[in-house]
Parts: sequence; structure tokens; C-alpha cells
Amino acid sequence: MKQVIIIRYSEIHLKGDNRSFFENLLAQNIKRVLTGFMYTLNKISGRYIITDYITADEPQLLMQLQLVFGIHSLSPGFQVKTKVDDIKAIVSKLNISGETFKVVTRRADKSFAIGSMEFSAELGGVVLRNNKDVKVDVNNPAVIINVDIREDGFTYISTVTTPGANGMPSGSSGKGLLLLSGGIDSPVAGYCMAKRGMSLNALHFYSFPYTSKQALEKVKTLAKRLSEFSGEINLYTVPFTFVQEQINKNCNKDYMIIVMRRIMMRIAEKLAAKNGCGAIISGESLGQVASQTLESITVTNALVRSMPIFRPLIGSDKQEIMDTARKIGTYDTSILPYEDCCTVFLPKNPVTRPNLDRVEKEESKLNIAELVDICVSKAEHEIIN
Amino acid sequence: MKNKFVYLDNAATTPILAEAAAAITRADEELFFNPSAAYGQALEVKKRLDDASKKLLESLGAKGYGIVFSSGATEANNLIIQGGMKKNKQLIISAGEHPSVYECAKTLKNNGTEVLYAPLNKDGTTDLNWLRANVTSKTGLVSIMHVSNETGAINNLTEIVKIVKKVNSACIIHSDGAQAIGKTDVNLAASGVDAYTTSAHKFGGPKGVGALIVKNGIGVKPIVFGGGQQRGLRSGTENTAGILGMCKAAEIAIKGCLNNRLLYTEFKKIFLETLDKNRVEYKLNSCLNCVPGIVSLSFTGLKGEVLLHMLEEHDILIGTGSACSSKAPDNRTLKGMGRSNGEINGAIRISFGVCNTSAEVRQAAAILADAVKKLEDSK
Repeated sequence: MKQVIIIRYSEIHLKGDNRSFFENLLAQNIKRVLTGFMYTLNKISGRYIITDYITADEPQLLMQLQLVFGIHSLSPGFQVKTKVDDIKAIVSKLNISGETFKVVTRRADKSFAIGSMEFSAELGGVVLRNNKDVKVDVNNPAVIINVDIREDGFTYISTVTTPGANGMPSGSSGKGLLLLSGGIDSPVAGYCMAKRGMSLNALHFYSFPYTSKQALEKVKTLAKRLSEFSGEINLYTVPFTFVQEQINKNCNKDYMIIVMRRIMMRIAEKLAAKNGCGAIISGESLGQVASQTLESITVTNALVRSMPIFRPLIGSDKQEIMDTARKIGTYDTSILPYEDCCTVFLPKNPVTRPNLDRVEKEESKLNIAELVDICVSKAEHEIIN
Repeated sequence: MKNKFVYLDNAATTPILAEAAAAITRADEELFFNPSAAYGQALEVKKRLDDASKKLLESLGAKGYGIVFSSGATEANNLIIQGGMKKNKQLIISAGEHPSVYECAKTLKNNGTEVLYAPLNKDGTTDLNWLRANVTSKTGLVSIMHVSNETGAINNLTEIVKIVKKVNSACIIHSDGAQAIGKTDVNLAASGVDAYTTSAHKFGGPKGVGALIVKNGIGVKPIVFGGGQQRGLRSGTENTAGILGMCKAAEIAIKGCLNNRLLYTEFKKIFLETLDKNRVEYKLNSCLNCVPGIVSLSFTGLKGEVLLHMLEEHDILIGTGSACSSKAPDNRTLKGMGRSNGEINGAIRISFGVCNTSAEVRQAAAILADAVKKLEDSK
């Protein structure tokens, strides 16, 4: 008998011939979050099993595994040779006194002679004999005893199942460049795409002295938290003050934000292409602020032709985004009161329904190509992990 | 001390004085014994602590007072407010108090204590007419800071004591003096306050040590429990090195107070004259009677924090009047003085220290003037 953690995958089991690609990535990601722990990782059909770990580490191992995309659920439990008496011996030791329960047997190993229902009933009898005040409740039990008879000759017994992060293993869906501002939305957008298997690069524009060094540090803290889910993040920080000063000096102030965002998109597209990213990721949510109206998004979107811009939060309410930010542990950092570059030179009446001709007219007052090239060349790179 | 930067944020904290640092090192090496232990070395430590306390009390004119060392002003303020307030009594604090008083009062208020906030005058001092009209036999404790950390405004402690004691002689009068030592004269017995807070790192001492000085006979209950050190008022092994470092720094700061005042008055003059010469418009939040070491000024329509960072680019470090926020300004003191949102957002705080020179101050003002002009131009 061995103490184990049973890892069940989410969508991977639906994959066909390339299933092993996803499974290998999942194993790599599991190893990444368990760096520093002692354990053995084994693969059996449709599951990963962790064994040979220190019992006291189990809560921490479970917590780390909950960061891994591609895991559907986790159960700490026991591994025992598939022999009726051995299984019964384990079940007889389960202490669930005072609870309602049911036994669920899964028989992936069809060579096991007893039928699932029949074996569940037999094991139920074992539980009733060995615990006080227990009652079978098949509809709404407090404890479900899972008995998983696998093809590897072992049976896995568990009573607790913790949900995993779900989604697809990091690195299975290409690489995207996340526009990371330091606010609440962009880290959540990064999380959403990482959940779909995307590796992340991140791009932050900073405006010292209009914003503080603390604001830049905050972005690094957010990237660090995201990297716990997504794996290593290449963070690019771009000094943006001189661009804002140029726009402020030369363009109509009401167009400040839209011109600024279009320049940011141009820089993002260039940096993304240069670093092998296949998409730009933005935390925009329709109608949230002036630059996120349909018209504004149309005008910023029109520029980027070589890759898609993913906006996973486009249909989410602020409250929903805040809830996710809390869940993934970025909210408390995001609300630290340091301004990001978007609030610098904020016009009193930003245009909410810009048209492309007018925006292009404002842009013609600037040497955009030069500004973009300067920014790309000045981007500083840091690996966050 | 030679630095690559010009440090003009001495109201936030000061660099440690060499003499205080030396006292700390010496104490750590030679006086590490637990003063509560039963052997002779411990007794020696206790004596040294007692001597240092006695000297500190003497230098603050605190005859008839005792001292409770703490981890700083925040703990000292909490001790007197939480430990000095009696049930069903009312608490009065000024609207411009430091968060360590303000938040402590808020917690009591949330637990059912009646708290009144004495408004500020336009010059940043507490409105004593309001106090005269509102203090009653119900008032259990009045806490009004000696020197404002935001503007340097000095409250007249003697007058406050007179007003309160006339109506209610049993009321405890506390003053947070974290910004006072070394900047203005402190004579506790002459003022008559019952309790007074100090903080070492504001006058060249180490961080993590402060004190509550309490008149003998004033009833204060402890808020930290344990081994019963410091007459049971603050359990925990005494921070010998920190306390000796603090007392050394206090000795120097108090001795140098008059000279420092003259020096800072000169600095303030140079600073404002340089701004005037550069034709920069500002509104002074620090009045003529404020301590000269703290100068708060507003550049209406600009952001104080942006100015801070523009100076930071030139290695000049100053404070803001308001935490950076594109939302509502959050400076209670300036708000209490009737300043507009624009004035609050555009406020900065310059605070001088013994390490500064006239040349540094002149240079900082000139660079500030350039920064203001640059921001004005980009509006």
C-alpha cells in the first residue's frame, strides 16, 4: 500500500493521435510546479500518479498542483495491488464515523472478476462494519469512496477530490504577447489565455516620472503570479513617456488615448513578431472605458493585420473580472494605488466614437514609424519565473 | 554623510546619526544581557537603561513623568489611546492626526466609543475655540499632535491643557510629538500634558523604537501582555541597543534644536526665494509659525507625485502631500485646512535635516521650478 496523489486530466483525454504531446506537456508543467519537492511521477492510462513523497508535504503538493492547467481534479489516496482482500483491508481502515457515504467503483481493468455495482456493495458492507453511526446515502452522501481499478494492476482508493485548474497544458497553444498594464483586467486576460494552453510574453509601457518605480515593480509582481500558472514569462518593459509627450504636444488632446493605444498596438505587433508570438492578448472589456467602445476597438484593431488580438474579457462584467482576479491572487496587487501609464495626460473628454480618418489625421502630426522603432529598440527584457 | 542624492524627506525618516549608530553597536556588543536576568551583568544593563531614560526625561522637562519604551510612535499612540480610554467616555482627536492616532480612534469608534474630531484652522493648527466649546466632563481623553507631520504647524500644548483641565481635570491630555523633538522646544511639565509620544527615527535615532512619556499617576492599561517588563505597561525584553541609540540621538537633537531651527529657517527662505526667482506659482500650506524644517506647498492643477518623480530623476528625494491617486485626494490635514482638491493633488512636502546644505536646497528648488514649468507647458 502506498500513499498517492491521483491526477486526472481535463480535455486531454478527448485528443486523438497527438494525445501524447499534451500528456508530455502536462507532465512537464507538473514537474515545474513541484520543483524542490521529493516525489515520483508515474503515468498510467488516463491518470498521472504521484508517489514516494513526504506525507507532511501533501497539502503543499496539492496546492501547487492546483496551479497546473490541464488538470481536472486531484485526490490524495492510496494505491494497492488489485486483490480483493488488499482493497478491503484499505477500505476497512477508512474512518468516516458519523457520516453518510457511498462507494463508487470504476473498473477500467475489465479482468477484475467482480462487477462494479456488486463490488461497491461489498465494500459498503466493510465500511458499515468498521465505522460507528455511518449510513449509506446514494443520492447525497457526505463522503464518496472512490475505488478506481486500473489496468496497471493497481487500485486507487480516495475519499477527497479537489478540483484542478482545468484548461489545456501551458505551451500547448502557442505563445501570446499580453499587454500588461498593472490594473485588474490584464492579468485576468493573461490567465484566461494561459488556461487555454498559451505561453505568455508580456509587454508593459511605463511613464516615469509620471508613474513611479513602484508601478513597474507592481507589474513584475503580477507577472510573477501569472507565471506560477503559465510558466516562465518574458516581460518586455518599454519607456513610453516621450511618446506621450509627443502626442500631448502635437495632437488634439481628446484623441490622446486613442492615438496612444494605436501606437502601443504597433509596438506590440512588432515585439510579438520579433519574439515568436502568434497573438496579442488584451484585457479590454466592451464599453468599460472610452477606449473600449466598439468604435475605439475597431480603430485600434484595424492596425494589426499579421496576428489576432485575443480579448478574452470582452464580454465580462467588471465584477466578474474582479472575482476572477481575487480567485487567481492578482487582485490585491492590482489595486495598489500606483498609476499606470494610461492615466497620464488623461483628457477631460476623450473621444468615445472615433473615426479612422480623423484618428489618422491626428497621427499624421507625428513620426509614428520612428516613435515605434525607438520604443521597440528601447524595450528591456526580463525573464519572470 | 556624503550621498549621491539630496534627501529632503526628513519628516518621513532621518538618516541615523553616527553617535547613535555607535551607541547601538556598543550596546549590542557589551550590553546584550537580558535586563530582567538575575546576574550582575543584567543589573548593569538595567542601570544603563534607567540612566538613559532619566536623562531623556530631564531633557524634555519631564519632571514627574515616567517612560514606556515601545516599537515606535504607532505603538505608543495605541497604548495611550487604547490603554488610557475609560468605558463610556468620549475621545477627542484633531482632524489632522497621524494615522496611528486616527485609525486607532476609528477602531474605538467602531466598537462604540464616541469620538469627536476637532477641526483645523486654515494655518493647520487645531481650532481651540472648537475645543473650548466641546470638551465636557464626559471627555475621557484628548489627543492633539504637537507638530503636524504634513505642514509643520505647532499646536500650543499649554493652551490646550488649560482649556481642557478647566472643564475636566480628570481628562487625559495626550500629544503625539513624533515630529517635535529637535524641531521645536519640548517642556512637558511646563505644558502640563499627561502623555507624550516620541519616535527615534524622526530625530536621527534608529527605526523600531519610540516611547510614551506618561505623567506619574495617570492610569494607563497595557495593550501588550507577557513578562511584565516596564512596570507591566509594555511586556517584552527591552530593546537595549535601540533605546540607548534613541536616547543618544535625542540628546543631540535637543541640544541642537535652536541651531537647527535657524538653519532650517535659512533653508526655507532659500527654497522659497529660489522658486520666486524662477517665477513659479505655488501656495504655501506651512504657515509662518510652523516648524521651519517642514515646508508643504501646493502647485494647483499639477500632480504632487509626478513632481516627486521628476525630482527623483535628478536624485532629489522629497515627499508628497497626498498618496498618488487619480481618484479623490486623500490628505486629511490639507482637506481639514480647507484646501481644494487641486491644491491637495498638487501638494509636495519638503523636510530638511541636519545633513542638508544650502547649495542642495537651492539646487532642489531650481530643479523643482524647472519641473513645474515643464508640467505647466504640457497642460
